[in-house]
Amino acid sequence: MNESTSIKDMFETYLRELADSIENRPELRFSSMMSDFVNTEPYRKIINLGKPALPYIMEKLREGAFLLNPTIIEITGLHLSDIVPDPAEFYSEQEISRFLLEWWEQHKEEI
Amino acid sequence: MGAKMEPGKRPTSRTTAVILFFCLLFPIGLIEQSHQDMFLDQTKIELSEAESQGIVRVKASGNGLEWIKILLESLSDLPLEIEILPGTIFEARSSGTQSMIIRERKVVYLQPKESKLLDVLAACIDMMLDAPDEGDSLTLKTVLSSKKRPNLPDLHLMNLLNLPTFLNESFRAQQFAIWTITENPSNCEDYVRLGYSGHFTGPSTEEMCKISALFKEADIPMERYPVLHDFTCDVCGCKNVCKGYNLWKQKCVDGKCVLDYTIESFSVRCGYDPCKNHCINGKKDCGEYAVDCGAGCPFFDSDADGVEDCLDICPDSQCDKVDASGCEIDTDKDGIIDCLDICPDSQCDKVDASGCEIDTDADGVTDCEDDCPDEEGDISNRGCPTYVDLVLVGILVGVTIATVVIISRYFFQVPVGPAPKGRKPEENERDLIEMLFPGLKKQAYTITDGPTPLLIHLKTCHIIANPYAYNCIGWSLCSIFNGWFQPPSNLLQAAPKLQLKWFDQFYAAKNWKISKNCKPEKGVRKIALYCNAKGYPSHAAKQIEDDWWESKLGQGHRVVHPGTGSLEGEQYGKVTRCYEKDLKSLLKDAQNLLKDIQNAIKQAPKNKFLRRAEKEAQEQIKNYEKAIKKEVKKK
Repeated sequence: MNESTSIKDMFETYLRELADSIENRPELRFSSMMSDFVNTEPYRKIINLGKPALPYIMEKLREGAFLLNPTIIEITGLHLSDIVPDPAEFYSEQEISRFLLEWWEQHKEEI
Repeated sequence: MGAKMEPGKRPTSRTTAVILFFCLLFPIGLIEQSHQDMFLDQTKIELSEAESQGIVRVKASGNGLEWIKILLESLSDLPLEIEILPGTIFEARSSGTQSMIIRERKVVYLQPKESKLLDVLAACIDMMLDAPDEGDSLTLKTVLSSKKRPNLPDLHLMNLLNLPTFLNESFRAQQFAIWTITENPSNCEDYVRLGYSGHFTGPSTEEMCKISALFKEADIPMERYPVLHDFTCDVCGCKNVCKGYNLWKQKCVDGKCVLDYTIESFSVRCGYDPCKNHCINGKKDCGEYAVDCGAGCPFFDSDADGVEDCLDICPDSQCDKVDASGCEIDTDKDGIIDCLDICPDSQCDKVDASGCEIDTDADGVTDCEDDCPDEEGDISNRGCPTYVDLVLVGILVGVTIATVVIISRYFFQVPVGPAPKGRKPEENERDLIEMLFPGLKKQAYTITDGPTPLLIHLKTCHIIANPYAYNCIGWSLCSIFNGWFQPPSNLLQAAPKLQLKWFDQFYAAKNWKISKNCKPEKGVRKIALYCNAKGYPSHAAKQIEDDWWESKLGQGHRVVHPGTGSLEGEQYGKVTRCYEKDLKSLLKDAQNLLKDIQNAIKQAPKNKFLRRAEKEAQEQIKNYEKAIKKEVKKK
C-alpha cells in the first residue's frame, strides 16, 4: 500500500469533512474562536495524522488555510515564541501562517 | 480507410481478423496511416475481451489492499487502446488470499508488442481472507458488466463502482461499502478492521453514514443490507442540498431528509460561478474567493459608475458617487444623494432638493436647530420667540424628550432611528441570523458585509481556503485588513481567566483601556467583549455611534445592531467587559491603517480585497472626523 498517498487522501478527506462540518453547523460558522473548530472530530483526525501529514497541511497553509495553524503547533509541539520575531507582539492568524511557512522551509528536512 | 467500425463498438475476433487482412493488403505507408486512425477511434477494447481474443497478455499481482499491479503485453501488430473498467475482477490463485475488484476506469495505450506495468486502484472482495501482496499472482477473471446473468449483488457492485462520487470517499469507506455488498454483514462488528501501524478499526458511524448515502445515490435497495438499517437520517443527519444555485439545509422527518430552509443563495457549492462576468480591468478576478479565474473578459459597467455590472446591485445609478455595491451614496444621510447634494455635509435631514438645510421661518436658525421652525424667533433662543412662558413650555417639552431618550438609550439600550449604515437582511439571512441570535428579532439591524468562510467546499470536491477571512476581533480594530485574531494555539484549551487576560493585554497593546461600563459616552468609542456560559471569551462588538454596534459574526455576516444586549444569548453569552478609546486616537489609528493598506496596494494594485479595505478605511476616517466635529459643535 502506498502510505504517503493514503495520508494525503486521508488529509483531504478530513479537510472536506471539516469544511462540511463547519458548513452544516451554524453555531460553528458563526463562531470566531478556533477552539470551537479544534474540538471537532475532523480537526482532531487531521491532528492525529501526525507528522507525515505536515507537507500536505503546509501546502494548504500556503493557499491561505490559516485555520490549520493550531494543527501544526500541536503536531510539531512548537511554541509560538519559537517562530514569531517578537513574542511580546500580537499577530493575526494570517501572519502566524506566514511565520509557520518560513519555519517549515528551514526545518522540513529534519522533520 | 476501409475497415471502419461503428464508434463505441468493440471489435470482435472476426472484425479484428478482417482488419488484419485489410492491413496486409495495403502498402506500408497506408498501413501506418490506418493504424493511426484505428488507434484514434477504433481499437478501444475492454481488457478481459482483449485477453480472451489473444490481443494482450495480462499478468497481475497484489499490492496491498488498495492497489494491484498489472503487466500488459501487447501481442498485436496494431496499436491498441485498452480500457480497464471498474468492476473487473482479478482472482487470487492462492485459496487463502482475497480476490480484487478494480475501482477506477483506466485507458492504456499500447504500441505493437509494447509492455506496460500499471498500478490500478482496487479493493478486496473476500473480507475474511488475506490481502494479496506482490508475491501473490492474480488471474483476470471477468468484468461484472459482461456477465450474461449478473446476480443482484453484482448489479449493486456495478452501480456503486460507477458512481462518480464513489472515488471521492476515503479508501476505508469505499472498502467497507464493497464488503457491505459482497459479505452482507448483519452488524458493524462483523467487518474486518482496517488501519495503519497498530490502529485498526471497523467502520465508524460517520463511515457507515457515508456508505448509506452512497447506496442511496446508487439506488441500491437498503432493505437487502441489514447493517445499514440503523443509519437513517436520525443518526446520520441530512446533507445540505442544492436547488438551482441555492444551498438548502435539510431536516430529518420520519427517517427521511426534507428541505428545511435556504442557507445560502447563489452558492459556489451549487455551481454558481462567482467568476462569471466578474472582471477587473479586463481580467477575470475573484479575489474575495481567492480564486484566480484566468484572463480574458471585458469590463462591463453599463452605468459607468466604476462598479462592474456583475457586482452592481444598482445598475442604473445616475452618478458615479456610489458605494462598493454600485448604489448611489448619501454621505450626510439627508435623503439627497451626493451627486445632487450641493451641501454634502449637512448636519440634519431637514433639507431642500439641493440637500441644503432649510430655514422655513427665515429667522437664521435652520429647521434642525430651530425649536420653533414655523415661528420667527431668536438665535439665542434656538429660533423661538423669547416669551418666558413659551420658554418654560419649551424647556418642559425638551426635558421630557431628553428623559425618554436617556431612558431608552441608557436603561434599555434602544437607539433612536434607523441603523447608521448597511442593508436590510434578506429573508434567508434573517432566518439564519435570528435563529442563533434571537435578540435581533424585530430589531432594525443591518448587514454591512457578507460571510467570509474559512474553507469553501466546491462541487468538484476541491477545498479552497480563504486567506481574507476576518473575525470579530480583527474587525473590532476597525478593518477587514486586520484579518483573524484570537488567543494563541497554546491558550485555546486554557482556563477562561487566562484567555480573558490575553484579551486585556491584546486590547491594551492597541491602546484600548478597560471601561467602567458599556454605555455610550461622549468622546469615546467602545468595544464590548462577550463571554460564553463557561466564561470563555467568544465575541467582540465595536460601537460605531450612539448605541449602534457593529459585529462580525465569526465566518458569517457583519451586522450593525442596536445595543450590545441584542447579541447576548446562547451563542456568545453575555457582555463581560468593555474597552474604550477616545475618538481622536481612533482617527489617528484609522489614518495609519489607511497608510498601511495603501502601501499594501502598491505591492498588489489589483487586489480587490485591499481596495475594499482602503474604501472602508476612508469611510471610517470620515465618520470619526464627523463625530469629532459634532462633539466640538455640541460643546
